[in-house]
Amino acid sequence: MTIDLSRFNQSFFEECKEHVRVLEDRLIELDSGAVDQDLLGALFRAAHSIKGSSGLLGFDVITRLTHAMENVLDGLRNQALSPSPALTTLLLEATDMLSRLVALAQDNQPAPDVAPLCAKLDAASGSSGGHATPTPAPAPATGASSPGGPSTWHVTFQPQPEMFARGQDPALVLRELVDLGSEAEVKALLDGLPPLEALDPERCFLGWRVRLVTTAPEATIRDVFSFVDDVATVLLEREPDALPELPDTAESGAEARPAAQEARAEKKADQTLRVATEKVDKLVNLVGELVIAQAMISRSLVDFEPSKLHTLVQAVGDLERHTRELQDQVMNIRMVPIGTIFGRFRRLVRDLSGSLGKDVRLELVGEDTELDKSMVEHLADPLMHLVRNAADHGLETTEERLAAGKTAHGTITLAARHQGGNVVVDVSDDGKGLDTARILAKAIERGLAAPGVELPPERVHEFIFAAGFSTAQAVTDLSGRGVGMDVVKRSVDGLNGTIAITTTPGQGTRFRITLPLTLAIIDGMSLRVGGATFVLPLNQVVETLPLSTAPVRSVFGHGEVVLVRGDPMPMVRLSRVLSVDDDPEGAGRPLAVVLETGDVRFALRVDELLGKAQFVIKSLEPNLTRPDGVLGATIMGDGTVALILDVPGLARLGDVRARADDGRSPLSSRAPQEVYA
Amino acid sequence: MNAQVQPQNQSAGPVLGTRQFLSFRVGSEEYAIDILAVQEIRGHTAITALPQTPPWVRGAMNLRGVIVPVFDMQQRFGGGPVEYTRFSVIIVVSVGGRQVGLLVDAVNDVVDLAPGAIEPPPDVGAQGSSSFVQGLGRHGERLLILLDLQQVMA
Repeated sequence: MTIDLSRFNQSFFEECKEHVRVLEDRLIELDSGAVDQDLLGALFRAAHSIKGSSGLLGFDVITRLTHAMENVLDGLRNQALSPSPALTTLLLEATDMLSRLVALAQDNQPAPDVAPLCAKLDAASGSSGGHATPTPAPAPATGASSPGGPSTWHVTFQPQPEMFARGQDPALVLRELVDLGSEAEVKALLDGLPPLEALDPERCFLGWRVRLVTTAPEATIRDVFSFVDDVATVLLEREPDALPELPDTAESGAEARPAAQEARAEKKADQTLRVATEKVDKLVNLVGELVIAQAMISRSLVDFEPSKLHTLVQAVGDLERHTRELQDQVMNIRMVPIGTIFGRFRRLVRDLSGSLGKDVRLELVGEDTELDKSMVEHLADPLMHLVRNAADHGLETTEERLAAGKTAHGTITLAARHQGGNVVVDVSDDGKGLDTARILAKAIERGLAAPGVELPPERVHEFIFAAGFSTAQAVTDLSGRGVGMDVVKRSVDGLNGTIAITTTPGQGTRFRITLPLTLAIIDGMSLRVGGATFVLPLNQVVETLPLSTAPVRSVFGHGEVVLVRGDPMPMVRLSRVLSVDDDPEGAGRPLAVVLETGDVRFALRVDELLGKAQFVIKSLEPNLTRPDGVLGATIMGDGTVALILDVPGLARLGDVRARADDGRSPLSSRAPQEVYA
Repeated sequence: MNAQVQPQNQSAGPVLGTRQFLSFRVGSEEYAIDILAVQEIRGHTAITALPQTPPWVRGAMNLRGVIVPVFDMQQRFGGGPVEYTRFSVIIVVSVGGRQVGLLVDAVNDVVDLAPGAIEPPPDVGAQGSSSFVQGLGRHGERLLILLDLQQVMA
């Protein structure tokens, strides 16, 4: 066989995805009219790079498509063609197909037919299809029957009983056969198997039937059996080629999907991360300094005498500093700018404008804001839902906007920024705002709210996060089916984030997602309640005060409040919300830790503060379901387990709410509990 | 590569069908679990109480950086809490990707049980903790209660 190139496939797919992203992001810019050579050059290079690598690795269908795209882009670059929205749409369509082809190739799925699309592209570029550049094997009719395309074989392999005696191992043969294909299914034939008492382990009673998808020709398959053909019967049948490929859009597409998704889920395991060289260099430097610091310590310990103590102290100090820096840098490796997912929204909004008949513009702010890679990925879907909802429901039609004295075009703004230890992402529109009365009516209709009870508007707005909740009068293909907002909320919850709604009738709606920077390490404050140690995320701690200076009052039916500089603030006791016994009243010096989450402030009664440090968050799952009010666990210096408290969860358990009179929405993404009860 | 080779005949153990069980004591009864589910046996380890968990969840322990819940087996079977002393033993089992520590009074030994030595669970009505019982194992004079770990960990 020739050199096995398949080990390059993974990096090819990564590279393709990057180029596809460039194509998507920058094709939109063609529309803006500001067409320059830089832009066209970048687009051409992206298509050209994919074409080159795919040709090398034998992904012929991808080569064919990128070649057609390249011709169009080349035409634009040479000013033989002029940009037009129709051309942009065609190129975007091709980009979509390209990204689909890459996904299919990654899952070892057969490629769909790209001929019609290529024909359209060729028509646009005025070329008759693949004459300009020599492409490896330009497919004559369809991608499906291209010469190098995989075909399906049914191989029946029935060894004779004396095969073992001849020193042959059927497993080796099967393994070699399976290695030929991109996909193989092996079934054992048990017909010849005698009852157990008659079984002679030195004789082979099994046969195998293999369904193999491979690009290898028949002769190669036969070669596999060349050493065993005198002790086995081998039957080779070829499945008609066109069958698996043709119905790619309708039924088989739907069937293939779960399998493809499974394959993708498996692939998650060996995901790769591209890191800027600069970041790696920094790491290498730091490790170097760490080694030096460690050597200094070792040296000062040799012939140690008290006079050397200060050198040792200094060296340990250095070590500590470098370790911390190293930790920061390692975490930094996982940080990627949120702009990597913002780009795709330009495309989304362009498509939405077209299909909704509204003039929608997208503004992006703070694309450089960095956060953990896994969070960025998990954020894409919720943001997609929010942008879609904003375009579909949030923004009015052009006529309505003009009638209301607004600009004809609606604007959706995606803004990201760092705030303290959090990342805040706002999705806002300048549309008509949420219809509080209709949401309430719908909530009452669905039995989520009791009729006749006055609810503050922000409580009402949270009902849209209930599962299956929709006030859309007509179901559009975009949204309105009532799926979405509950999913958004759940995704954000899953990232330990919160989501809050602000809306002004006639002026627009803003969804604010607040997320922690990373999921792995937090700055925390350790404390003691009774005999147990807990950790609070430091970014949610506002202040601590001794309870001897802050009087506590019981409010009938509303638990306790602590007077902080004269202002009453709800106080939560772990003994009440988590059944943790605290120190008896009057013993020790209890403190109140003032916590803030979203727009809620409350005090937590603790018996003792132990100190500040960084804590590695350990998940309780899958060994245990996470209790409410607990974010996770961590391992303390002495090896014991301590629980990290979840501040929004405590607020919920303690039934603490934002004061209704400050006009802001309540704390968190968590809708009032009765909604879900 | 997407190869799926489905083995059709499984090799039997040295003695056909004999399985090994780890036996341990909780209160006055002797129980046994399939030894293949046992990951390790730990002595006294610090346990941190977990809020909002059923009473038999004694807490969580640190098993080389992994947080593992500890079940009090006596409470799991509806009894009072096991006294946790320096001599207590935690059997760490792993079933279906989940690790759980089982707090027991003492670990006895490993016993071989042939299929003939295992009887179906006695029919005492589908009440209480009898759903944990997979069968009864006879080993000489001893009668071992074989536990269904899936049920215990549910």
